[in-house]
Amino acid sequence: MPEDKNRFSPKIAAFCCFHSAYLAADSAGAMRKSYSDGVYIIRVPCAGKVEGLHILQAFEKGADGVLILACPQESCHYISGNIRAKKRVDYILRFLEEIGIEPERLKLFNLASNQAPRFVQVVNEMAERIKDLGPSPIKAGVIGR
Amino acid sequence: MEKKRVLVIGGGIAGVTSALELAKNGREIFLVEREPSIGGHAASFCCKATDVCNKCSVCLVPERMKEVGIHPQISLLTTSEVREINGEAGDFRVKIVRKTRFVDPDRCTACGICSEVCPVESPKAISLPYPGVVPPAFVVDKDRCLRLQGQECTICQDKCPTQAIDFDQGPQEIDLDVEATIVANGFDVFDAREKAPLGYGKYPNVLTGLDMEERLLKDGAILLPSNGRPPQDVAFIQCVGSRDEHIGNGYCSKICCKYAMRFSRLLQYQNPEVKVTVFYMDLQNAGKGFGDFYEQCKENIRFVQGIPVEISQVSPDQLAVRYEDLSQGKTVEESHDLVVLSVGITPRKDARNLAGILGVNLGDFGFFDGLTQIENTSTNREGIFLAGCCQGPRDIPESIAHGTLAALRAVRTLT
Amino acid sequence: MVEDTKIGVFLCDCGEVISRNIDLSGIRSNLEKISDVGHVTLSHYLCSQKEIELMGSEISEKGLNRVVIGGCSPQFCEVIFMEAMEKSGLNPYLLSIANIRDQCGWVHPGKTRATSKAARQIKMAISKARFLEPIKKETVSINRDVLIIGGGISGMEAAIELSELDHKVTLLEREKVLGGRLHQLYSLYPLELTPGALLAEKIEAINKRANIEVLTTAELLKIEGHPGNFVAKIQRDGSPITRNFGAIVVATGCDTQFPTERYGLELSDNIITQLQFERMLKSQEEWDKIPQKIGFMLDISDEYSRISTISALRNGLAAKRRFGGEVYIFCKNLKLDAPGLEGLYREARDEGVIFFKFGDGMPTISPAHGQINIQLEDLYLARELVTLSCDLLVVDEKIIPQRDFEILKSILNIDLDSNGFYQQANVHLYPVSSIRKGIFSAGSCRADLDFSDALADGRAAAQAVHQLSYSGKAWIEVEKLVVDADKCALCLTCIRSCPHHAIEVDHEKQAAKVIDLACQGCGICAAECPAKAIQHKGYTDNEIGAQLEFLEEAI
Repeated sequence: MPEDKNRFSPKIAAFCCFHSAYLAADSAGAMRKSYSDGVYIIRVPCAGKVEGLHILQAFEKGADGVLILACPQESCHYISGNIRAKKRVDYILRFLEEIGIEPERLKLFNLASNQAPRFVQVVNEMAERIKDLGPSPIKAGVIGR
Repeated sequence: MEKKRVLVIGGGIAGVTSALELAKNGREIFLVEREPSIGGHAASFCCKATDVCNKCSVCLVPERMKEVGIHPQISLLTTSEVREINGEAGDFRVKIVRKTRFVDPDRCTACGICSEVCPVESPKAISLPYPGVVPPAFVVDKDRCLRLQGQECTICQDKCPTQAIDFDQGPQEIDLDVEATIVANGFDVFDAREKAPLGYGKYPNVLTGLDMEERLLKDGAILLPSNGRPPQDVAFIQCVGSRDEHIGNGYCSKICCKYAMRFSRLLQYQNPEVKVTVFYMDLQNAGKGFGDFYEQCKENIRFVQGIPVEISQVSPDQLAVRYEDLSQGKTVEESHDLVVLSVGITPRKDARNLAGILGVNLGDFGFFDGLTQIENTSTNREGIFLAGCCQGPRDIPESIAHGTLAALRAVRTLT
Repeated sequence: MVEDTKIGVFLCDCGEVISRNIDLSGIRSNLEKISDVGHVTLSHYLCSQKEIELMGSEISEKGLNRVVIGGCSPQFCEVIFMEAMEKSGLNPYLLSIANIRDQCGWVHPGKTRATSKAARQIKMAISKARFLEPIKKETVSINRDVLIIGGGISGMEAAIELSELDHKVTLLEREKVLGGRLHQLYSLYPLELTPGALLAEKIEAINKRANIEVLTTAELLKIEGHPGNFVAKIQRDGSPITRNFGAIVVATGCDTQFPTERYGLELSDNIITQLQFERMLKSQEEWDKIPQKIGFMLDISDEYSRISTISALRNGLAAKRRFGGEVYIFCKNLKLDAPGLEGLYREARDEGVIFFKFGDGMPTISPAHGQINIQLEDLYLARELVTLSCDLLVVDEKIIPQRDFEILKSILNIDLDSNGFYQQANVHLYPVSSIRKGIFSAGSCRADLDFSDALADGRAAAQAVHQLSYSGKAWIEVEKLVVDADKCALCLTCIRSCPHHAIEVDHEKQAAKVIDLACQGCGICAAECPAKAIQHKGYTDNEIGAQLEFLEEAI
């Protein structure tokens, strides 16, 4: 089925730190602030738990975009988790293009537990970006096969 | 061993901390809160992080509230007030009046149906005060609810799937025996209307620091109340209601310089074009790590020594700020589109009443009086302790520290 | 997957909130078709007492060995469900929650789309559940004895508090006597208590307590063991002592330094530090000539320290009262954000102490003929150039870490912050905790604290220690992070990356080992391990991978 831009609803794997972004997402719910329904939240204890492998796996399994949502810098519950997450994301960004995935499909943002509006803004902007890019090339390849 | 019981009066961050610390030490806690939900002022504050945490510590509040909400050893008594306390340290008999909350927090699932069916519009007469509220239950606005205004409306009560709403229940008297009491009664934010020349309440684009907190928490951004557009030129005015002997507040509120700088950074992070001026008397920029933060602030924020005395509105979207420029020795007027009054901390209006009930002294400026400067969690009455801003201005980490110390003192009377 | 899974799926309508936007019955019938799903219920209100009990009996009757909840956020309800599972004999960690209320029904208008997302969320949870592994909980003993390093005000206060709470305390002091900086101070005004009286009071309290052991001229050489059960090797007057402790409080204080380069001056007879001035105030004899004009210079050595401001106010007022004469306080900003300081400032002003504010311009300080001339642009006088001369100039100092912080840091295996002070566990979360469980820091060795704050900090550390060890035991999750010894190459990456230094080498197994009591469950080690030898139960590679499976699958 051909997907035009309007009909394409991107799937985004959002790894959310249980100390911050996960709670922000819950607050967004309590405030009934709607956001793109292609966002799937995967709870992690800390953004530092998200491995490169998981990010790549998400793309492999068909995510059109991957978000890592970590605590603001200098306020990680585990001191360095968000910094490690950033390093890993930067590392993967170095070769993402080489393996045929636009780097814009992977983003890390810092936000705190009581920033529900920012959570909504961040995921919606991501969804818009991915809509512009179209479906993940990996998925397109899988579908074409 | 029977669990030692402690009463904590006030469910703000200090009281919440005392309750948690004691519960973690194996004590049984009754947390009495006047409002329908705990969290106090700090629960309505916003995160001031850019990509980097600016150490406002507001995020600690919901986390601890939640812990209290699910802790098996802490009993929450919301919409409750202490009426009497008799006896002595180790054996206090407390009389508490629990006013009806209308929504039973044990039954309410925060589903929101009541709010949807409520016939009162914008805002609804029954609502969730903010996400993450503890207990997670809806709250009736007594002034707006038709039923409580004498009309025949029971729509929410009828529609509630868990029968959590009950308008007919009267107040309840609760008697408790406790060994120690911690007072964490909190503070009032200075009412900026008392400073009439600053135009708060008169000009829509004059906000207080508290307004900023609430708007940012809800919307994540600040827009001009007059036209809904983002502000371009913001002025912060420090020491509104603090360090002011004329109104009897001869103390520094400690929090305002820091929050003004954090707001400034946040505004500029959200819109790098926005100009920010901070009018101050003395900048309180001491504290671990705060110097570095101030150095960053200095790059893009204009700091002016001198406190404006008058604000006027020149057009619906423009305010004129008049102040004495100390460096030039003359009065200057300049225009801004948003003025934020950095209001400080004042003692609660009902502090005197509570102090009377408890038999505890009030000290300078109307805050609860600590025994000495270094025993400021103890009071003249043995077994009754103080925590947080009811004893004097404190920021969130300091309130937490003070709450911890009060808990330690209470633990010691219990052993 | 070790055994055959039999999954119970419990869908909750949360009143009737969820079903209005999500077709729960449709999802339910869909789920019943999954082969290892042994049970699906749709409940009106799952966290009610009745439904919870029902859930418990379903678990035992149907022999369910995994629980999946589709309902509200785990934030509040997770503990309730875990408790129910435990009661019915199922390990509570075999639970997976799909948050279809807060993160779906409430935020995605349109029933079709919301239902499709919710179905996918639940399938992700089921998929994860298949890989869940139980986590055992057990109690470990924690030694209630405490070691306090440093006998200054913070350390003494912590010792007294802990001793009153029935902890046995060993107080280590490298000098011959207790008291630290209190010996150097002249007054604690507006507190009536003098530093000497306060010190005497504290020492008396310490001597009275049988459960405080004071070791002076002693230092810590080595720490072995784990949080809750440390073994400390101490040297006292050259002879070794070994003691066991459950927790350690570091309260070694700080040093001060006069930064010559910031002032462009050397200290001399009439340019002295605050501490020198206090010493002179203490002993009357040292005055050759009573100074008639005393200046206090602030905010040059350290613009962001409150301590210098407090000392200047205190000592300026004392000097004014004692000598009459002129007293000037020069500063950039008066830092008065501590209890009582505004009052102290007003008192000093009323007494005749004169304040000058030089803002961003630096004052010029030039000593000449036994006088010190000071020139500055005063902000309150419309930047008029003010020239004054003083007989005595008291300068501010910078608070710096002590030289041996580095040594103690490596003995204790904790971190220092960028300024060289002891690092807090998290910048604002837990002020007295260090990165290592069971080790705390208090007083001016961790932050720039005035004496009353340092005292309070000692108490805060006492409370933290008490909370950790009051019962003598702790309830821990065993091997939540589990190391596969066959895969571990002992590359030590995990040990280096663990933010809480909770990993050590198990020499017997020749593999890394996570110390369960110290582990805080962030999973960073698991993510960093190049050999994938560490798995974090609840977030294993299999569990995360299984959730991702469902991104593409058509629902």
